[in-house]
Amino acid sequence: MTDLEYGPDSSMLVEIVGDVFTGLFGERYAPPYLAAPAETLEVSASVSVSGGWFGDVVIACSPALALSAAAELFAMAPEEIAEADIRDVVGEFANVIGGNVKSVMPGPSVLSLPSTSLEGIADRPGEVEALRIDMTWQGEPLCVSIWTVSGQTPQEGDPS
Amino acid sequence: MKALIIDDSRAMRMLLRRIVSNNGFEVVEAGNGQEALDALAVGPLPDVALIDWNMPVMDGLTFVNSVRARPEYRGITLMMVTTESERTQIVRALAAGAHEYLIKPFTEDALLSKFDLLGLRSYSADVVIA
Amino acid sequence: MTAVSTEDFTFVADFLRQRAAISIGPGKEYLVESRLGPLARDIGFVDVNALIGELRRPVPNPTVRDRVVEAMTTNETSFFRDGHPFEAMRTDLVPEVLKRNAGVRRLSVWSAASSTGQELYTIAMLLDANFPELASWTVNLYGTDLSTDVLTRARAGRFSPLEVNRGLPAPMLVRYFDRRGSEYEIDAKLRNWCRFEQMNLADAWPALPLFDIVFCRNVLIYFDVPVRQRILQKIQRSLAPGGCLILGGSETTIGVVDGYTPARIGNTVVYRVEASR
Repeated sequence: MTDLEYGPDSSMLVEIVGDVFTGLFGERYAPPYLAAPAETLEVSASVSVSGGWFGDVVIACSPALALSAAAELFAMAPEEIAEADIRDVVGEFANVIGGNVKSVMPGPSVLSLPSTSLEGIADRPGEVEALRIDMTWQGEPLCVSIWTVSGQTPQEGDPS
Repeated sequence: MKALIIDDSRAMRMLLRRIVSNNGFEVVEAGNGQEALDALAVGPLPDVALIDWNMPVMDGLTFVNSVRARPEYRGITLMMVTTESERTQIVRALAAGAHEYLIKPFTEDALLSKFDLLGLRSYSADVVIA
Repeated sequence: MTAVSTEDFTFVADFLRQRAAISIGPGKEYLVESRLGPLARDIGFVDVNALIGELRRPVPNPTVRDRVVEAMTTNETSFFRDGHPFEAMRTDLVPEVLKRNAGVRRLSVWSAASSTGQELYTIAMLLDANFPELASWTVNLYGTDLSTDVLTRARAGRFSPLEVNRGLPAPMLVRYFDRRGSEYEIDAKLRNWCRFEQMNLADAWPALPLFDIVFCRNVLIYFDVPVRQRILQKIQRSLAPGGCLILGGSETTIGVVDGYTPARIGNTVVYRVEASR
């Protein structure tokens, strides 16, 4: 179900997220799969896209998911993981997932550097949540959403 | 052999470091294009640079342009490792002088297959899973 | 997942290094478990440890041995897989065919067990990029597989970002592929050179034309020796005079069937049939 007339649908977004996790974690873990929405998504990162369309791609997850991902990627024990490490990892999730979403939306567009928050998903005035998938990875919740600036008409520039 | 890993994400630098050092490379890291140019100016030149596109201060494309403008850096193999996956972006990077292009997300064996294409792996194993 | 002991893991690592020049470093125990576990059950062993037990016997079952090797390599096909057979095509095999078939101006290549099509499309890209004279030739690229799912995918010629990342030089990606949604689709011109049909190598074969080059890589290991022999003999009869067969890196016809003459081209061994019959 999506409000996007262009761009990915849920199953493509699930595939993008799956490929991203497979790329980062290899065959060690099953990729994220769709699940019921969760409350405890205090860690979030987003990238904004501008050009062919204007909006954000937002990744949010539980602190436990961010911690296990960081411990895995930095090859450190969970106790050794610092806040900066968490921000780095979820920022990279937003970067790669956002980049892949961007490439199937009208373009050409530019991706911003990621911004991160440990206080949950920020309000996005003037934007609507056009597509959202709720997933689980290693028992912890993860949510990926695409927000678009209201009232825009996306323009396709160069065909890519 | 020496690799220069250029990405603003520390996690991504770690991931790339693990893969390439398991394959016998010494690693130098940089968080953006400017830091990478600074690293080239001191010390022995790397054999290969793995370059993210979107970074603060100086992005990957600008770094590629700068390196290709300097004859003394001709010997460095330049490989983009980035989420920018539109055909026009790949064309731009190759036109600027990048030798190869790896799209994120990538698997370890995909990166190693690019190394094989670039002749960066010296042993003659038919197949390697690292 | 059943855990593999360090000792068993070391054994498997050494075994792979010796048998197939595959390198698997420490810390990859989970790969052995995740790939050999399903294989063990598939063959009929109770678990991966029992499978490794078979490998450790003085004379392990050759089919088991070969399937372990295959399971530990990347099981999916990829573009330009292994590299050197395609180099051999570029430097020697295709130039030979251009000379040999200069009269009829036809080139036919068969990718047996073509899976999702990367091998055949690799051949198509190689031909287009290196041999412009083929523009006035009839180029028949034929791919066969047992599975209709992979054939459907192969015919569509569409690949995911993960698939195009592997083995495919970036200049070829931009030259021969267009973006379609999140996937990359190979050029219609190359798709039109390729035909994909269902076929079971172990069963009766349909009537086939004669091929100048046959790729049959890493699939014979799934068959018992008598079936392998039959297949290799049938491939022999499907090769044009002077044509050749290309197998997987650790496979050979030597000791299996007669009638092929091995020849080394770079890092590839090709198996030729006589030039005049």
